[in-house]
Amino acid sequence: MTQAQNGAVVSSPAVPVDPEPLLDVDDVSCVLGGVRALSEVTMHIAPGELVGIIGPNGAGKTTLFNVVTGFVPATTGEVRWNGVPLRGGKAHRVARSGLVRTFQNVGGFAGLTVGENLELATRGRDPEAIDRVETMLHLADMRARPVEDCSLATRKLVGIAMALVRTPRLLLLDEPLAGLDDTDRDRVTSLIEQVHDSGVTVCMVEHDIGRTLRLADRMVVLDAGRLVAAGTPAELARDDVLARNYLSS
Amino acid sequence: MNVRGTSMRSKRTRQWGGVLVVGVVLFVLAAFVPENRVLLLNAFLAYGALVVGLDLLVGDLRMMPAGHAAFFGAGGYATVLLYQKAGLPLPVAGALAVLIVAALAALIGLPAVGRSSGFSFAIITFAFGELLIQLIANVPGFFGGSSGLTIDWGVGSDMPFDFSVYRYFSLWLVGVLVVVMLVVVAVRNSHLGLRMKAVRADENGTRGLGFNPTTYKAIAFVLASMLAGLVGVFWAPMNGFISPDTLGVNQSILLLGMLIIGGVGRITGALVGVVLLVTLPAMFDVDPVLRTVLVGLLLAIVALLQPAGIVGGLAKLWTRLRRPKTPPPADGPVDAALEPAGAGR
Repeated sequence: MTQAQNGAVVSSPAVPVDPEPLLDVDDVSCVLGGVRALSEVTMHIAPGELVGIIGPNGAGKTTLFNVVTGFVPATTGEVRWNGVPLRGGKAHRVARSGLVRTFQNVGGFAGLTVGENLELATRGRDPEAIDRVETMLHLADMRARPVEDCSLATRKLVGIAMALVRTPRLLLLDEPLAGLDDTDRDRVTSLIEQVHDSGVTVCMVEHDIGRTLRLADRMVVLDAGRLVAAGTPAELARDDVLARNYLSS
Repeated sequence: MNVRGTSMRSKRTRQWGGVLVVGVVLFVLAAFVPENRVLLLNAFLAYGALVVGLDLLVGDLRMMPAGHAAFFGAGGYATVLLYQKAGLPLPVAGALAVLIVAALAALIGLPAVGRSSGFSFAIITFAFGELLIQLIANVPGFFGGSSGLTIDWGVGSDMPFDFSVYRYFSLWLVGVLVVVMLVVVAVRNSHLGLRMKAVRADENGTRGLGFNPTTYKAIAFVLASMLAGLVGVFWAPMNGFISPDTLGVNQSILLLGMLIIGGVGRITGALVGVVLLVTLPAMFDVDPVLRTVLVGLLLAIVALLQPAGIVGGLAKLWTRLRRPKTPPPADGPVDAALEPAGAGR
C-alpha cells in the first residue's frame, strides 16, 4: 500500500505496470468553469488490462476520459498515449490513433440505421470488421433498422460495436451498463468480458460496482477529482474504509 | 458486404429515378409552357435550385445561414462583371464566377462554421450578405451601385427553334435544377452524407469516431454556396439585370421560409415550399405585402403544428397509415446473442 498526496490510501497495483504502459496519466489536473474537476491524478493502463474506474457522481470519471481523449484540455500535467504526449491533441485526431471511446449517452447516431452507423465507424473502409463484429454481437439482422427504433440494450451494443469495428488498441467505455435492467447488465457485462478476452485493452467507467469488481483486473477510485485508491479488486476489498465508502453499491 | 441493405439500395434507385423523371417533366414544360408563363417557370426553377441546395445545410446539418442569397447574387454579379468588364466568353465567366463564389464561401465559411453556436453562424452569414450589399452600393463605378448592373450579352433574335430568350434560359435552368438535385442526392447517398448526418445528430460523437465536424460543415457550406452561385450565373443573364436587392436578407429569409414550410431534408419539401411561396402567389397575383404576411403565418403554423414541414408531415402520416397492426419484431437475435456466456469472473 502507498499513500496518495492527499492522504488517501493507494494500494500498489498487484498487476505489475508494464514498463511501457499504453496510457500514462501523469499528475493531471483539470479546471472546468472554475471548478477543479480533476486534481493531480496519476494512473497507467498496461496493454491487455481491464481497468475499472469507479467513484460517486462528480468524482471526475468522465472528465478523466474527456481529458485522455482530447475533448477537454488538461490544465496541468500530461497524458501520454503509447509514450507520446497528447498535449493539445484534438479529439478527432486522438480518436484516429486507436484510442477509442464510447459515450454515456446511448450508442449510435439517430437518423442512421445500425448498418450505417457501423459503416460510418469504419469510415467505409473495413467491411470485414463490420461482418466480424456483427457476428460477434449478433447485430446482422438489425442492420437495416434505424438505431432510434432499437432497444436501449441494443443501442448500447451498437455503441460498443462501433468502437470494436475500429479495432481499438485501448477501448474506453463510459458507463456501458447505465440505464439497463439486471438481465441486460449481465448480458453486456459478458460481452465486455468477451471483448477483453479477445485481446482488447479496456478501461471502463461504471457505477455498477459489483459487476465492475467482477470484470476488472485493476480498479481506480476517484472522488471529488482526486485519485483515492488504485489496486486489484481484492486489494481494495481488504481495506475496510474503501470497501465501506466506495465498494458498496 | 452490403451494409446498408436492399431497402437502402431501392431507396437510392427511387431517388435517382425521381430526379430523372422531374428533369424530363420540367424540360417538356420549359419547351411548351405558354410564353406568358415562362418567367413564372423560371422563377420556380431558380428558387427550386436555390432551396434544394440550401437544404444541404438546413436539412442535413441543421445550419441556418441568414445570408444564402448573397452567394446567389455574388454568382450573378461575378458573371456579369467577368463578361462585360473582363471580356470573357459567357461560359468561361460563369465557370469562374462559381469558383469565385466557392472562394468567398470558404473565406466566410471557415470562421463561421467553426462556431458551435448556430446563432453565431447565422449572424456571420447575415453580416457577410450585408457587407456585400454595402460594397456593391458604395462602389458604383465598378458594381453599378444600388441601381445594379445590366447585361447585354448580344443574343436574342437567333435563338434555336425561335425560342424567346426567357424560354432558352428555362431549358438551362431546368439543367441547373437537375444538377443541383443530382448533387444533393449524390451527397446524401455517399459516405460524406453519412458523416454529415452524424454531425447533425451528435458533434462530439463524430469527434469520438475521428471525424472533425468543422470539416464537414465547411464542405457543405462551400458546396451549397457554389450551387447558389451557379443559379446566379444563369439568373443574371436571363434577367438581363442584377441589383443588390438580389443579395438581401429578405431573399435569404424567404429561401429559409420556403424550405421550412415545405419540409427540410427532402427535395420534394423544398419544391413544395417554392410552389407555395413563389409560384402560387405569382399565379394569383398576390400582393407582395400579403405574401410576406402569408410567409410569416405559414411559418408560425408549421413551427407550431408540424416542424417537419408540409411534406415531412405528410410522409409521417403515410408511414403511420402503412405501419402494420402487429408490433414490430423485438431485437430478438440480439437478445438471444446477449445470453451470458458464463457467470463472469
